Amino acid sequence: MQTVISVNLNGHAYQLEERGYSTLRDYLARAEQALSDNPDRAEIMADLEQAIADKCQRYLSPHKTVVTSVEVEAIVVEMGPVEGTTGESSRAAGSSQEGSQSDAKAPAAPRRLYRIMDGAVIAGVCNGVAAFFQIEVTLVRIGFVIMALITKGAGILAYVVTMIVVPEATTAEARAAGTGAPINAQDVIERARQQYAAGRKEWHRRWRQQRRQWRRHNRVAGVPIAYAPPPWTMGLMPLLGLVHILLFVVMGAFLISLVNTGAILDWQLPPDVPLWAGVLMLVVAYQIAVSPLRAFEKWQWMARPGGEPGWVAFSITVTWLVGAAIVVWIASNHIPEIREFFQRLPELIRDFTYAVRDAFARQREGAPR
Amino acid sequence: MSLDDRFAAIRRGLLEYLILRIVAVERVYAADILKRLNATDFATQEGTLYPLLSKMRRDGLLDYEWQESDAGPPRKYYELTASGKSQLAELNDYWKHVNATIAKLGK
Repeated sequence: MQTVISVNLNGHAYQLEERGYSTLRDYLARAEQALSDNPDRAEIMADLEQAIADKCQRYLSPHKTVVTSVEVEAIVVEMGPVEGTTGESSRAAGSSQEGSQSDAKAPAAPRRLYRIMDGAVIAGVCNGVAAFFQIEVTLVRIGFVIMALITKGAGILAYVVTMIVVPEATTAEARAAGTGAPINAQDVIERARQQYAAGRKEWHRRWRQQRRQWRRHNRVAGVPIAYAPPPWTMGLMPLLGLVHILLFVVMGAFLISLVNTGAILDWQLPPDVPLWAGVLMLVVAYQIAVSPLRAFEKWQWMARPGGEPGWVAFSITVTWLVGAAIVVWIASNHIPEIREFFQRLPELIRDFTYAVRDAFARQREGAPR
Repeated sequence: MSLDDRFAAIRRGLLEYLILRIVAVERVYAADILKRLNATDFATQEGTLYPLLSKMRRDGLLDYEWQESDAGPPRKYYELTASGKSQLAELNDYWKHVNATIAKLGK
């Protein structure tokens, strides 16, 4: 009799004999280590898991629901050792050397962006970012809040996207890679306690700040202004609203096309410009394109007695957020391009964070001279 | 040292070229590529192929598209990008050149 262990391979459950489970676990751990500096690590791991799942399926039938240890062994041999780095030298080298190379690399665990739930306020994004750049988590949180206020809520969307694409540090190894420090239980408890207190204060502060902003909105508006818009321009508002939404949709389509194919319509992104820079430029261009529309909308509200009430500003923000969330959710479930877009986002964000980190590192190196 | 061992490094080096050739014919998914290679001397394994495919995609030679399959989860179907096609043309020429050189040298 053998104990059976259920495993999740890329979203499907398989039952393996205990010894087979440890064979597979070791194989995947070695693969993960070999790919530790590969930017597509998560994707390759998912592909490998899927291939293993397909092979398991071959051994299963309605009357045989468990994959035996011998079969797992055969599957692992069939898969072959996972090749490490993209460097040409290591690919030319034999597989035995490969193993020792990745072993030698192991002690210097690379730092990676993870969500860290210990002492997290929402989903550990700020916590992870702070650990990644080794800065105070409160600073990151304040930065996020300020960004969210300036962008009228778009920053919250950025947080949600980050929350989805950045993996949570669930294992000790991941936590060490996320924080750059080995973690023991005492540390975790201490840190969690500190951050819980800080987090609660942060929430209160954030809420007060938001309320103040809405109130201020009320007061500033309604001041008589010299150049009131002619009354007939009020009729243009719905039309401009449509143009605004249209621009937003076009921007979204451009963004997806840029991320998926590296091109917008017939214009190809120059090969020496990183994708994240292209995305950034697109977003800035969009902001510039809609700024006259925004200004005009503001102008209309300013001229009316009482101005744009705070609740209007608030409900517009909420409507945009909810609308965007629903559209994204539906689209990512039904349109393959959008799913692909989301699959590429992590890589994009990773490239971007690496670029930012490198820029910081260069600055620090340059400082003493 | 057997012939097989002696040419191991050359076979590995040619893998990328062969993948370009296979993908150039039609859109294929990873298991298709593996099946085609494994019918030849260039047999390889997932552990080698997957990281290589991902590197080729990063280099802009390949791209993939998700496609539903009736037997299981959606699959990644690979195809050549414009730069993949031009790279393949170059490699084809170069390979011809290499063969011609070998034929010309000695007997």
